[in-house]
Amino acid sequence: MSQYAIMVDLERCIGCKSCEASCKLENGVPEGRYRTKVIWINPRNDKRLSFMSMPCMHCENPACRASCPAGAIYKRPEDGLVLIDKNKCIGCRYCSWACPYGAMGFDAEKMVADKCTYCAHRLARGEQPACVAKCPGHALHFGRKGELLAKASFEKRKQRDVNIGKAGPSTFYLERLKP
Amino acid sequence: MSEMKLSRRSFLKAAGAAAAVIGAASTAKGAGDPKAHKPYTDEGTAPVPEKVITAGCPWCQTGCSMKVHVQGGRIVNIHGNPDDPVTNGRLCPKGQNSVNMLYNKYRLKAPLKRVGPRGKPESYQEISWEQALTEIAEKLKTVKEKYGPEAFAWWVAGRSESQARAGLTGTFQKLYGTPHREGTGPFCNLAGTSASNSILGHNNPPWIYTRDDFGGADWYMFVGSNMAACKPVMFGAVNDERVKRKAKIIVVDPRMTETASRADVWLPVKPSTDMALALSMMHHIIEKNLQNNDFISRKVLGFDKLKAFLLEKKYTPEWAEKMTGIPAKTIKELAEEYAKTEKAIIMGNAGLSHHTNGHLTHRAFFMLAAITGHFGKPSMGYGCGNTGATPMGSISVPAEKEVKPKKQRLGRSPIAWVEPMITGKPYPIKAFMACANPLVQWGDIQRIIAALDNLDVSVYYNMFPSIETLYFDYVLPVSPWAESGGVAPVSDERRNVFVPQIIQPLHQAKPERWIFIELGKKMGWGDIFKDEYKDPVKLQKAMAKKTGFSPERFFAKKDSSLRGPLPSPDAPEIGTLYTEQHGVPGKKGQFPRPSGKIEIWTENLEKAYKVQGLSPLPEFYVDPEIGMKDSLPYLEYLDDDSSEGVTSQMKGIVAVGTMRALRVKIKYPDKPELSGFDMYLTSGRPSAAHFGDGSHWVWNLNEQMPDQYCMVHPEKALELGISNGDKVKIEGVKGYIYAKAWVYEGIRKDTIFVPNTYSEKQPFTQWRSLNFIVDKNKRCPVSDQINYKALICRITKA
Repeated sequence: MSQYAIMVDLERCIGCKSCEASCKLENGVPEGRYRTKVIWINPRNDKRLSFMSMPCMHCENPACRASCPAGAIYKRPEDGLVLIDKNKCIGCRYCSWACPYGAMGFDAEKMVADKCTYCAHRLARGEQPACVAKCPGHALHFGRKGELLAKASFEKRKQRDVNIGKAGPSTFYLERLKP
Repeated sequence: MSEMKLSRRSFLKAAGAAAAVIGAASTAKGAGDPKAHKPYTDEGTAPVPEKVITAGCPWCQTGCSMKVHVQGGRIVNIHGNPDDPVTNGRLCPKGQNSVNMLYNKYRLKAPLKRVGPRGKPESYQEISWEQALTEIAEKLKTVKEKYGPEAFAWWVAGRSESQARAGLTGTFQKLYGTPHREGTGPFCNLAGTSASNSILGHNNPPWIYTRDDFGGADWYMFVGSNMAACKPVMFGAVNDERVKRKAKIIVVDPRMTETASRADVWLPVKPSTDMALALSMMHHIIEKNLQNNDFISRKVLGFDKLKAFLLEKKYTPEWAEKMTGIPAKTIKELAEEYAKTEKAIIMGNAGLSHHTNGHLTHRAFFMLAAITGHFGKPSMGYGCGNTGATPMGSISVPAEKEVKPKKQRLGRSPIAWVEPMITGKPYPIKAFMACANPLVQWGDIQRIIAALDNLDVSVYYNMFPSIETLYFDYVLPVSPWAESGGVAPVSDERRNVFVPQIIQPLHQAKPERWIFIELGKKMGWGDIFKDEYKDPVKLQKAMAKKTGFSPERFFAKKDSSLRGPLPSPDAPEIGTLYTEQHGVPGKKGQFPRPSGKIEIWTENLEKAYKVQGLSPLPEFYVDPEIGMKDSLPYLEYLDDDSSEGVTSQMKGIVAVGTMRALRVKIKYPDKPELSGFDMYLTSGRPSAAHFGDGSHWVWNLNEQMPDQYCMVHPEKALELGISNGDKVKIEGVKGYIYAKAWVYEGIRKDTIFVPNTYSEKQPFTQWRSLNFIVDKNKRCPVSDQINYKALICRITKA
């Protein structure tokens, strides 16, 4: 398996929330619900204003999968995407509780769990996730994780440690150049 | 996926590309009814589109080329255009949400007539287009007979498609004979436009937003410009380059904006004092002899006058520290860095323009760039965003049919029409047509509502039932953008992108083009407002004439864009302006002022400014409320909007025809004249999601920044017992508003920030607009722009 990932560059993100908007248009996500969300981290103690775009982390050991009593969440062997089999989902929301990143949403109309798929339907057509394709800041990058890490080290960028427990997130963040 | 390319061949073959597109759209079942279409596949994702059509974005002045995805006669998604060299295929939240702007349950659906008192929805009755336009035409004719053609005023605003907005309304104006037609410039960046005209001889900034021009500088200073929120796609590319090449960014702004969050240096300037920064940087540069003498001797007029003026006034960095709050040491460092860095850009925007000193502040920054030789090559210079278009042709009016106004135009800003509407002085304005949002955007909203009561006829045309639809006599539903086709609003780097008509108008809405042609016919001008011009491609062909803006040239390009000026059919598109090679195409000289040089000071300029009590050399003053509170120099107005004033001598700078201007005097108070207000109030764009009132009607945009907020420093919040999310009352000199507190360290302790564009009549949240506390009479005497951005106030927990 060669894991797919999104690299989020915290220095390049300009906080415009284009990723939120494009995700909603691409995936029919309605008002008040999110598959990816940008949070604004207010300036504090002389640190500057920062933004954080938060899609699904597509973890190595997904807590959502471990928590699912119906076996509806699986990790796709060929690319490591964490996906939901909506036919198996029983709508218990254990996965929403389990995900340490708050990435698991819930479709109250269909009563099933709902989250970012890295736009799996677009990947199948050889396209990039919608949020990455449209990102004005060139802050979101998609690809095989190894290639993205090489890109980051070419720019001598530090990664932010966002691992929680044994999750092993695939989405990763490049630290700001200075606080 | 089959790409529908509107090549020149297909254009000629199909007898109009628009016809081909409309044909494709109308074959779909139930075209026109959004409910008849499914925008998503059974899996819930956007479908693979049948067609992808290239079109310009209708929102801001970035002018992005977009790829519109069409499926079953419905627009299902919008992506960026990878063939666009400015955007590289990127898109901000607004452009792509044009989908939700069109398919929107709040849209105005039919023409309405007011049959009861203003302010009540039940006062409005649906009528036919025929009745609406017949009645409006009759009333316009009567106003002309009774009061003369000058009594009709038309605010064409800025965000509708350019053929109708800039072209057809101009034709209508010439035939009617009124001097009062204006775009959105006086509420946007006319201060920057007029300053650029006055010193460089042309309105646009020197750069274009490609990576080898704007993106290629080593040093940037953004002054009163939150480019990250206002032009996300362009700033995204600049920031990408900054990270790659370690370019330096300095942001001068009272609050830490999105732009400042990416900067190496954030300088929280006191509102209204940016001019002092430019003056003192020049003072230091001259004192250290760092000016570019070679450039000055060849290309600049009036340097010696400027030097003597700065020294006489003692505009030193130490003085500027007292005005701006920026340490003198920092100002000196900035000045030296700037003078020594060749590829250095300073960008101003509405943060400088929305003040009574807007024009002269921009002039001061232009001078700073001029004396350091920062013009003539890519990746340098000073410029202001959103400073207007280059000529794109128009429909000819035979000389014998053109009616020349006999009375002088009343000021440059439409806000100058309000008092004559009420007082009838110096002469009455009795008919008013408007789009956009005068009751959200203009200052002093109470007074505008009062003015509407005194009119014989008022007509409002727009997409959404905004607050204006409760006050105007007639309300007309407009079909925007892909329903209409035409040319998208110009970008501030002079780019125009063509929009084919992609879908049929929804409901009973009509394109502005259709409305103006039908109204023109009813006015008796059917020989000029021809039915064939309802087709955007045919109209473009007729308008382009001797310019290069022909439909064929638009369609020949993969991004359907053309960058002006294109003074002849085969004129090449030019990138950087004011170079020795190009100057400004169609105009004389590298800097198209009468002298061909950058004009800091000339005798003619001195005469033109003196008529109004000013000088082309920027003498420092602040906005009136700030001046009265802190006993700093501010403007006293010797004329008002009901007076004859003087005739502006600012031809080619800001005057349109014979135009009234107001006289002023700089007052130097010796003690504070206003008390009881302890805070400064500044304003601006809420976030990248918003643009005017329109974005508040689009759920996917509004939810990104739903509430009118008040950024307040934690120390002040603690003092007042205000927590994050509390409702606060903000009282200004003119009135009060409410907002939601956002306790935020990135703002001056003495300043709050409240964003504009909110209103009491928006569908998701309702907030009394900021402009209730703006004084419409406190305006820049040159650009006529209102001071929105430096008020005084006090806040309390509501």
